[in-house]
Amino acid sequence: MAIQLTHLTKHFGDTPVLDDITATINEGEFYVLVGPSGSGKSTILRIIAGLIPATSGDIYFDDKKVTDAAPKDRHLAMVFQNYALLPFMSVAENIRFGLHNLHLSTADEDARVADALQMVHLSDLADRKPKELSGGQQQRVAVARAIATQANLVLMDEPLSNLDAQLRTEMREELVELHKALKMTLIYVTHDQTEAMTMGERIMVLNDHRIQQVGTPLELYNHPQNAFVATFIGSPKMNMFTVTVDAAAKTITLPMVDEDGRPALIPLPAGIPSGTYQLGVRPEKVRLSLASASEYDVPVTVVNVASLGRASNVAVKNSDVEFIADIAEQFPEDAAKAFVTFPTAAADLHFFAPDTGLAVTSAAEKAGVTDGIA
Amino acid sequence: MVSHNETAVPATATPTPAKRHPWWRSAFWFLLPSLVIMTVFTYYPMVMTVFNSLFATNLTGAAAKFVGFGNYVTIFSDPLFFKSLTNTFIFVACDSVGVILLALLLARLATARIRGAGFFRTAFASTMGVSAAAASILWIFLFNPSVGLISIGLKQLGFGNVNILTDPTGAMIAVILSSIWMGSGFAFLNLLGALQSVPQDYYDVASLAGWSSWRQTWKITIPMVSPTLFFLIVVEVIGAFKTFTQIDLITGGGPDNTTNFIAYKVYQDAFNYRNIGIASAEAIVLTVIIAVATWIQFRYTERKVYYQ
Amino acid sequence: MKYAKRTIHYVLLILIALLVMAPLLLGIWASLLPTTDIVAGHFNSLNISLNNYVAAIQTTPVVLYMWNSLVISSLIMVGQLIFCTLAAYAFAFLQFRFKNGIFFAFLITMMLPFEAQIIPNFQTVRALGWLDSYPGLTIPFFTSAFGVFMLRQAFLQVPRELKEYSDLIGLGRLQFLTRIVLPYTRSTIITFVLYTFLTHWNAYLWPLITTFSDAHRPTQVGLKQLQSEDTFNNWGVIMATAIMVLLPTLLILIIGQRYFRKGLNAGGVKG
Ligand SMILES: Nc1ncnc2c1ncn2[C@@H]1O[C@H](COP(=O)(O)OP(=O)(O)O)[C@@H](O)[C@H]1O
Ligand SMILES: [Mg+2]
Repeated sequence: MAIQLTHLTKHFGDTPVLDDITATINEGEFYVLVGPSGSGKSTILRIIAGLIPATSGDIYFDDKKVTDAAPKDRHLAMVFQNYALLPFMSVAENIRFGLHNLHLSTADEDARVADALQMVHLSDLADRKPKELSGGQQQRVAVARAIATQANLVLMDEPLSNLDAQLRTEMREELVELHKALKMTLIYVTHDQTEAMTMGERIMVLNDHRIQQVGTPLELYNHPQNAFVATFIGSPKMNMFTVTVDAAAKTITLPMVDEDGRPALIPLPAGIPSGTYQLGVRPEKVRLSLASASEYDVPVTVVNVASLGRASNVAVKNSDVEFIADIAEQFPEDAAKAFVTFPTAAADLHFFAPDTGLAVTSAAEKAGVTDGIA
Repeated sequence: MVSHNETAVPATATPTPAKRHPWWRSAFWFLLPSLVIMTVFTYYPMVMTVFNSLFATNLTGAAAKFVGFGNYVTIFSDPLFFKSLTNTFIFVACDSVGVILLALLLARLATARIRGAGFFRTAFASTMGVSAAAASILWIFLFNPSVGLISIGLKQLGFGNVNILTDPTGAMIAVILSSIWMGSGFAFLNLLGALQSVPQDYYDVASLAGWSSWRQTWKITIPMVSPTLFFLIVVEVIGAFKTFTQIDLITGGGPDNTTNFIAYKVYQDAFNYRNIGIASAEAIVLTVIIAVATWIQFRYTERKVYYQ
Repeated sequence: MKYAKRTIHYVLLILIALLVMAPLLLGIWASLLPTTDIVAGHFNSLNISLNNYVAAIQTTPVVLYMWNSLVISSLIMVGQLIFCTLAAYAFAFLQFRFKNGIFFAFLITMMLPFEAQIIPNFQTVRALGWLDSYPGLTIPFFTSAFGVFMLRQAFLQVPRELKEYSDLIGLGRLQFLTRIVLPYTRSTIITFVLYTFLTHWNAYLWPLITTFSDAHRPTQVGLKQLQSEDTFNNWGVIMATAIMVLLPTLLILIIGQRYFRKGLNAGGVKG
């Protein structure tokens, strides 16, 4: 089932919560809504489910307008963050109870319950009460209850956020596999960008009541359309610097100084007009060495070295500007000084207008970007 | 990360689109049964009592003549009512303090983690399962001048042949004693619940710091259970002001009206002397006392519950 | 040292338990003794038997009183469960105009002592022809602000997601109430039901003024009746009736103890 949202807005009293949300979710897609807490993700999900009314705008399932349909007539299933299992029913009863509205024969219900339990590897625990299960198992029951309905659309609201880190990683994979097997349309809400990136086929980034960008994980990562998406997606976060561009001299002036105490310059790729910008550079594009190799290298003091073994996140500093270099090798933990080499390729330098935060791209680059905000 | 759906928020915040009815079609029907009962048996009689208190009434209870605050003037200049009021206050004070102290002692003893604690808890709570009427019979038996063990005991202690219930002070003490006994189970159970919800860690830390068990009681236990304690005090005070059953069964208000507490006086004036106007005025005095006590309780203990 | 302390604690516990239980234990003991022994002060007599109970059942209407109390308490219990649940549901889950005002109107009745309402209520019940009848003894108590408040508090603890879930799977309001809310809050429901039963089994003032015959007289007032009749000096029988009357509520208390301990504290009770 394909879902279409057109110009959805939502106010709680005078408080705006959603502003002009327009999006299309394709049949069978694993679609993720990501954004900081309070950005309206759950609200969108509840409007799609019909649990709360939108202030304005419409919802279509395939070509049918469902804006005013009751939740039960939308034939979808939902997995809640706190699982919303009924504590006084066994696992199997919970799943069966979810089939209430489908008017199946007892035999069919039995089969659905058994299949769903098998799919989440819980067949052995069918007679337990939810509180006799671990968090991860409860979460599986919630998923089983949703898939047992065989709804074409499943909504999940931060289903993994109550689990510990390791279990979360496992469950991510299981959910992705489940989606591959069942091919339902899945709208998945999370505040965790890693979850969004690893699970989603397409991702909607929300902030400040609005859609910031919609795209595949790599589109968001490589072509963030504004400073918010740029810093929200990716870990460690993209470094941001306030810089001035001199188009004639083809230089970027960083808010740092070189070894002689003069403003540090790096070369400007092309196509960016003169002016002041926010410049974003991904930590893994920042190279770090102990000796200066080029005239554009910037000397830095090492603030902290976080060694991961196969890589290092090194916090460095120049003129009170602290940023991160994420290097794919080990770095001496006692190093005090180092030199940073900034990238020179246009694709690695993300310019944003200082006032609007919108990406400023050269004409050539713009042509390559297809998906974006309206 | 805290978003609204992580806490138990009343679903009221978001009525579903399909469920928005005009108010008279939905909630109304849920409230109607209770509203009807309350209107007929609470609001209406309350209004009528106020109304009756402003009238001189005839023997059938019908309002005969408007007397304004005349009935109030009458009762407040009636030494008997004054006596009733004073004795009520004395009783309320002794009863509430007694119940709370006894319950505290019982709860303190019963929270010890020892074998058989469950049995003692049941024993201490048992008076809550004994109705005021049955309890009164048990105590009448104890106070009986010829067969009562208390009377017999007093005689053996050299007090001679006392009839506790015909002695003014004795009757008051008898009513207070039996009332404390009746109220202790309820107060005990509440305090026990509160005591058991004080985290053991606090005591562990205090013990490590070398605090005596008295100090622990005063510095940890009492503050931690103070909301319950306050709740209980108010509840006991309200209950004591309404004391009726014990009086009717044990002393009949006597001797010489010593134990004729206000709720009993309302009953006597209304149903024995058929003086509805006067009884109503007395009932309103009782209402004001109870309302103030209840208001204090709402104000100071239930705030967090009402305005979550 | 530790051993000594524990011993002292036990001695204290036993002493105080005996003291607290003394009126009840003595009552039970007396109910087993022949009245002649009681009157003679022979409490150490070993002539115990159930004769007083047999006599009470055969010569007094105590069984009828207990039946009346059972009917009355059960009717009130069911009535309150239905009426209070409905109102509490509205306050917890529905949006409607004047909600706060109506809730306040409910709460305010907790401030108004029933004792101040008995005169007009007596007149109302008399006008309805309900004196000395089950309806007159029960219908005035079919709701209670305290019950509504206690249940509303419990209902508010039901996670909002369960309401949403029930909307999704197409449960109607009443189904949501009976299949999700009530089971979810069942420990409060049990506390409430037990407490209501206990309170009304023990009711005294209202039945005292509205019952005139044994046909509908409940136990507590029955005790007064028996005590003031010719059996007055037959202590054995009187104690036997008192014990019979208090036994059901004592059992309820013993069984439901844990509910009272948790539930009453949370809601704050006593009407
Ligand atoms: N019932 C409500 N009444 C008022 N404000 C609400 C309500 N539900 C949500 N909000 C507000 O709407 C905003 C978006 O909430 P939500 O959709 O839950 O965000 P998210 O799921 O992205 O964390 C938040 O600021 C929240 O406080
Ligand atoms: Mg959310």
